[in-house]
Amino acid sequence: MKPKSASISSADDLEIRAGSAMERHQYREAIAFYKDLLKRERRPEWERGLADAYRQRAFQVAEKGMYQEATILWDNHAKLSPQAECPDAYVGWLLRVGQYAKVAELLGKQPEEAQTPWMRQLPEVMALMALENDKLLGCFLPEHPIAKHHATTKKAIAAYGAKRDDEAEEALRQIPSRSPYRNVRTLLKAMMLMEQDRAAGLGMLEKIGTDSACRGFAEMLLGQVRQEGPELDAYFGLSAKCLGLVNKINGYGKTQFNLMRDAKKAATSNSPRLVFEAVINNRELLGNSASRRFCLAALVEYPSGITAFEHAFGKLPAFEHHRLQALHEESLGYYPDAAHHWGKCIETLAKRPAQERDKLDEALIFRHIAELASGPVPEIAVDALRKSLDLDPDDKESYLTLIKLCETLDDSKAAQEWMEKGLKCFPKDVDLLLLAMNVASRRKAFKKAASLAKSLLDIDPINSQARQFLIDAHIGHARKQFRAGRANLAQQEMEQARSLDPHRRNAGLSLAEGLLALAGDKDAKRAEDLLKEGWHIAGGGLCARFLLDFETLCLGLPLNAPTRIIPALGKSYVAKREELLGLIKLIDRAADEKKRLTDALEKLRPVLKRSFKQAELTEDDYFNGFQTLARTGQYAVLGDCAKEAQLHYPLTAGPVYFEIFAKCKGVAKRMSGQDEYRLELAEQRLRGSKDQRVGILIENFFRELDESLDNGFKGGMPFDLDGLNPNMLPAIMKRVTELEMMPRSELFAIIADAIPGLPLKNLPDEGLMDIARLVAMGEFGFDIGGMLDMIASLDTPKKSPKSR
Amino acid sequence: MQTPFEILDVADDANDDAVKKAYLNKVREYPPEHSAEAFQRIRGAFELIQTDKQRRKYRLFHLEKPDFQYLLRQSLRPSVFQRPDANTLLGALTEGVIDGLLKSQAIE
Repeated sequence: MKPKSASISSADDLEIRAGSAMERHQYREAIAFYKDLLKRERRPEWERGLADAYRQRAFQVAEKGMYQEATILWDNHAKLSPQAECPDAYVGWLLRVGQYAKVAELLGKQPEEAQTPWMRQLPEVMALMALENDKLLGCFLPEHPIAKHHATTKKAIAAYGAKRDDEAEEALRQIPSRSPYRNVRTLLKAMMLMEQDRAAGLGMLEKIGTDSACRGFAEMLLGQVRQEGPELDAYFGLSAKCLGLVNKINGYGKTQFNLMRDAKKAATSNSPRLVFEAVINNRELLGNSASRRFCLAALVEYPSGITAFEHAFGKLPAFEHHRLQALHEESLGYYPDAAHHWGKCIETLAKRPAQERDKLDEALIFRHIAELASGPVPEIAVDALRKSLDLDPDDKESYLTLIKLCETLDDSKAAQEWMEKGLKCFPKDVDLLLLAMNVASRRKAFKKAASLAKSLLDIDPINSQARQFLIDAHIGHARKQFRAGRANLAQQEMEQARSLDPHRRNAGLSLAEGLLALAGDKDAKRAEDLLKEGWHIAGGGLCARFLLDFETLCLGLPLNAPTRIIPALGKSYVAKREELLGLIKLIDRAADEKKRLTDALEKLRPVLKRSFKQAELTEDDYFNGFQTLARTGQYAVLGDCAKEAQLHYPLTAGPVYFEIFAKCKGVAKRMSGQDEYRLELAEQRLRGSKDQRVGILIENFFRELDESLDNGFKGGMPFDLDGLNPNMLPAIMKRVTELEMMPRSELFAIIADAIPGLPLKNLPDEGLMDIARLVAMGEFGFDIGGMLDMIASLDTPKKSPKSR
Repeated sequence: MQTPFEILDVADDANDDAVKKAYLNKVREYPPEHSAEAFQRIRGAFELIQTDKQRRKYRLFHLEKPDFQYLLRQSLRPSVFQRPDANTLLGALTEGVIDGLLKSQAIE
């Protein structure tokens, strides 16, 4: 907007308006007002005002990117204030609009000490610009370094380009270290060196300082001419001139450029297909063998490329087709499909003529299938491992895995069979012997286990598990002898156990010896010393208390016998995580004495309940604890532990399963309808989870439940349940459980009321339970008469019409 | 991505002895105390293909993840440094100089 005509205003008015425009940052208007004022009279304050308005306006337009206008405005300002210092910004505007001569002039006039740090970079920049534009030299006095060393530098570059190295080197020697051309000297030397030793030349480039105008160029070379090839992203970001230089140096032609263009497109697209195609299309340039290997590996991610692959590199054998497909399915996590294709691979291998057949490869694939299946479908893993060992019996790991899997599936017969086969192949293998010892012990084949432990100690005298097993066996015999009143024989067993623990590291042994001494009443001091020793070795606290109580019970002594020497745990005692984990191990070892174990744990239950609340147990800690407590039948403690675990890990299924398992005392048919429903929900939560341990347990429990129902009803509910509302099922199941658990006299009364005249007293227990289930159904409105007729028609001695 | 055979510099059908020999040679070349990272790679490769069974397993169940950049770099490796002429060099050298300077001014 043009300001209102100033000629009609008074000077005072104009001055006020100019000041006001300045305050409002309207510098264009202010300039006009000051110009008008100066036309009337050349007052110094108005000249200063105009100079200031020019200056402010210059910055204002520069902010809008109008650098040409900004330089003119600044020049106007400088004419009115010749003493004003030249700001860096002005130099920047001049550079942007290409007024290099003016910059050179400014540089020539300004002494170095007056320059800002940024301005100090200018000489090198101007020196480089002068190498391309000789006219700039006219702005510098002949003695200025830019002018002085210009010709020598140009000569060096020209000689370098013309491969006259001696002349180039001679010229470079004449450029002093303080010259603005000093980095061009380093650059040329580095490029000459690169021809002999690329790495050394690149190393020299690194020496160019980060504040140098040549640094950007040096970095570009560092990224693009290195031995391992150019950085692709940066390569495609280069200007035409730099691209030309890099292509020249690296010897790239159009073919390489096209390859890099394809590569860039493929790499940025993130598409396996584009990458695959880029390699296939450029296989000649990339190398046929390397391209084939690349594409073969890429087929795992991009199996549809197989046709293009075979077209380019020749047909793949059927085995390779299946192998790639299997690896592809594995990469997607589809293990059953992967196993299917691995199976096809085996079929292909097995079809080969006998002399070409490679049984070891087949065995390895079977083992691979077992690895894939061992979590979700252990039965398949067992089958695959069996087949693998038939083909290649010389694989210890497979025996170990197979035996463990058989144990997981509760198939102790198969576990035993494979153990024997494994030991036949590897009779002195510590891992197999140890596993065999543990399996034998779990099968209660103690003689066999002891013999294996002895063999193990012969091979590996420091094997602590074998040693512990033998010590426990001697202590067990000693207990039996003592309870039978043969204290001398018990003592002999103890001595044998002691011979296995000469360094007195076994807490249970010391405690048992102490208790025997205490019971013998001969040497109270020795008894006290031994008990204290055992307590100390066990670390005091929960584990020591359990060991002492358990050993006391096993020897048939009153539980309070050693209390005088070792007091009970305090009422507020809380065990730490490590103690609880230690206790679980002790419980596992004490499994053979179930009744005494239960009694010992019952005494510790308050401490355990407190401890489960406070100890920081992980999910795995809980799971291992649950398994041991379930296996040893410690349902009360298992229930306490599982309830507490549900509070700590409310989203996991394990605690729910083990709480229900404890409530049913391990018998699936005792499960209430409500618990069955809870367990189903827990099982649903497990779907998709990697850890299938709990899933397998729940599945087995449900299977057991189904089988128990089958026993009663021969193949499930025999009657027509089409009308059954699924929502009623939990309530019916709950009622069935109530009836099953109630005292027989009460049950008889209810059945007699529902089905009068049934001869219940002679009925076997399972038959009675069947009738109880019918009664429950009847209570929910089902026609019991019809059902009874159907049961009567079933061919089962349990439910013969006579018995009813 | 290099295969363990390439890392140890042995043929794909090398036997146990050849693999072990190659491994020991590599360890002598890159001892753990001087080249810890290289040694780790060498050790890892050796553990993958040490025995016949391991080599078979590697061939059956392992495919190195295809590394496109590696493949490209291998084929685009410049063999000889070719000297540019003076004009190409000067053009590229002076091209971004002003921009670089102005960029540094903007940062300040």
